[in-house]
Amino acid sequence: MAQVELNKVVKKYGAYEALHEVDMRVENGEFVVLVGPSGCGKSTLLRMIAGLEAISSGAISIGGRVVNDIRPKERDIAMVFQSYALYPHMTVRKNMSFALKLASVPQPEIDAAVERAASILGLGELLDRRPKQLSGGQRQRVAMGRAIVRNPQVFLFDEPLSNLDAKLRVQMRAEIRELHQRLGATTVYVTHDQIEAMTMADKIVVMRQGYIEQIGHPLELYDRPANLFVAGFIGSPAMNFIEGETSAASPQSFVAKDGTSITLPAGSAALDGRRVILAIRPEDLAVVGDGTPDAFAGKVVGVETTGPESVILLETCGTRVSLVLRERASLGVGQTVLLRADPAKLHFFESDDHGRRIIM
Amino acid sequence: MQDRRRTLVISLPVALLVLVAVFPFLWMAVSAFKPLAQLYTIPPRWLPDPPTLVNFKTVLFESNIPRYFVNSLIISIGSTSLALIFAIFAAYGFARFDFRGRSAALAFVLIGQLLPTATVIVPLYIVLNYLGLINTYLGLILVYLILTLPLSVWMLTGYFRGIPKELEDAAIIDGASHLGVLFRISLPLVSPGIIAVALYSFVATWNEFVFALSFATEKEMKTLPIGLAEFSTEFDTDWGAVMAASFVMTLPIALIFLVMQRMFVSGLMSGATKG
Repeated sequence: MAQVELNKVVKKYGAYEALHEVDMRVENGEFVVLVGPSGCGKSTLLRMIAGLEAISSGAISIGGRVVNDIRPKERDIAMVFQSYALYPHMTVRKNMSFALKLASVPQPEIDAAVERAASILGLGELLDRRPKQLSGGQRQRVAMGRAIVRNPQVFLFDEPLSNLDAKLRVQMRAEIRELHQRLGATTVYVTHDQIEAMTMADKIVVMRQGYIEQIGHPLELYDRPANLFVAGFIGSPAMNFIEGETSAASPQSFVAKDGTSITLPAGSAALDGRRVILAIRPEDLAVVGDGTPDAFAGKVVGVETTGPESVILLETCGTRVSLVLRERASLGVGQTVLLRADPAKLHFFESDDHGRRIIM
Repeated sequence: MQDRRRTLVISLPVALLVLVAVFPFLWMAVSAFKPLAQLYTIPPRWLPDPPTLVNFKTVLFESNIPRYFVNSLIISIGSTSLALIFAIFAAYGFARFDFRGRSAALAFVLIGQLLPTATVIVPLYIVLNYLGLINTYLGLILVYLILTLPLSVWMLTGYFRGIPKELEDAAIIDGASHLGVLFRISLPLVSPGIIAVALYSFVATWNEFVFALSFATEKEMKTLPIGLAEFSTEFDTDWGAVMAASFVMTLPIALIFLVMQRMFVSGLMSGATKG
């Protein structure tokens, strides 16, 4: 077990800088998820921790030892790849024992380690099969087995569930989580799927274009996103953004582009007369009856029902917003309804390029 | 009905193609067993009556063909092995490492292939003569590399590129060195490619005529294609012997193809990644 520390890590490809002075710390035994859209540099970062990519400047240390110039095999890490990367010409057993064999571990020890990993992952009967005789989920498990066998200080996962179908993905998500709890190993996990990040992580690192946008506990990111990007990236359906201005009148209100006014909670003095973006999660919007104070009108443009809940798409405030209802909706497209936003759950962001959160 | 018509549309041209391709070989095989008189009859006789082994007796016991056969074998196997060794390393380098001038170098490899053979004979002769390699196995083995190496490198580069990079990354994380990755992971996975290249290279050198004619002038060093020509003298060609010798020369190639063809079609890569 060990902590992983990144100190002003930069990756350059020629003149192009892919990662800009990234600082990050993974505590001993922590499950950290790097999440972001494709091309944000998360996989590059992981490959740099693994030692598959060189570091242009800065330092990466694992267990207190700077590993910049240390080869992957000496970093005491194991990695699970998106495509599983099982050696097709070897049986499951040989796949799992490959690393130990290269490290000249005595055969009885190798056998014991493989048996142990196989029993943890339920691979016992598959040990003499070839990868092509396995299903996707089984291959994924073998890939994890190959990592476990080595008993590494740090586990690295590079989008390991992307190739699985939705149902299996949910199952494997729980399995990986369980495995982490059982082994307690420091883990860095890369994904582009925010739901994976939310459900699995002790700590999420949101990345965009080579920068870290925010680091924090999943619910912290959900409740207090640091900027518009994180706000829009975390949560499904995505957060609603409404452009407008705050008025200095009392009680203070927010006026959207189309003139719709939303009353702000008391103590929002900092917003006097500024252009801002108001953000609200779909579950913090409600459909209300006539005569409710602070209500505003919206026109239904779509209804998506998943069973336990319904997502209502509406046009209001000069934009399109979504709203999540926990009960069955009896709303029809084209209908106009009254909406109310929970004043305590409003978020405000600067309306500039950075879109930083305005602390209320 | 539909199906049968479609089968016919496909199988008729295939049958025609096979006939055109195989007929000369059949004729050669049949003729090798004919007595001299039956070779010249008009209209031609399809089957030898009675079949005779006299042509093979001439070829195997009264000519230099056995010696030439051994020469050909040594030179082809030597050259093929050498080509494989060089091609594996070169192709792996081209496929996996990013270095300045890679694509130019890869293109340049093929330029050798484009030169007409005739243009290199004289320079090669001078060089081989200087090195004392005229009429040696080594001389012909090296010369044949010029013939087989470029295409071998190109073919193998393609095969190596087909291996997912993640497999090699996984092996490196598992603790393999670059050479370890090549020999333990990549090479086993390109074995269909290795077989294809080996076959190509062996056949090309086995059949080669012009270089062999120029650089192996002594009787002890000649190869089979040259040996075949020896049955034609100024006044006469012993066609029966030519056919029998051709038969002997074709046999190893046919055998190799029969044994190897299954390996061509192997799906070794499946199961490596998501597939």
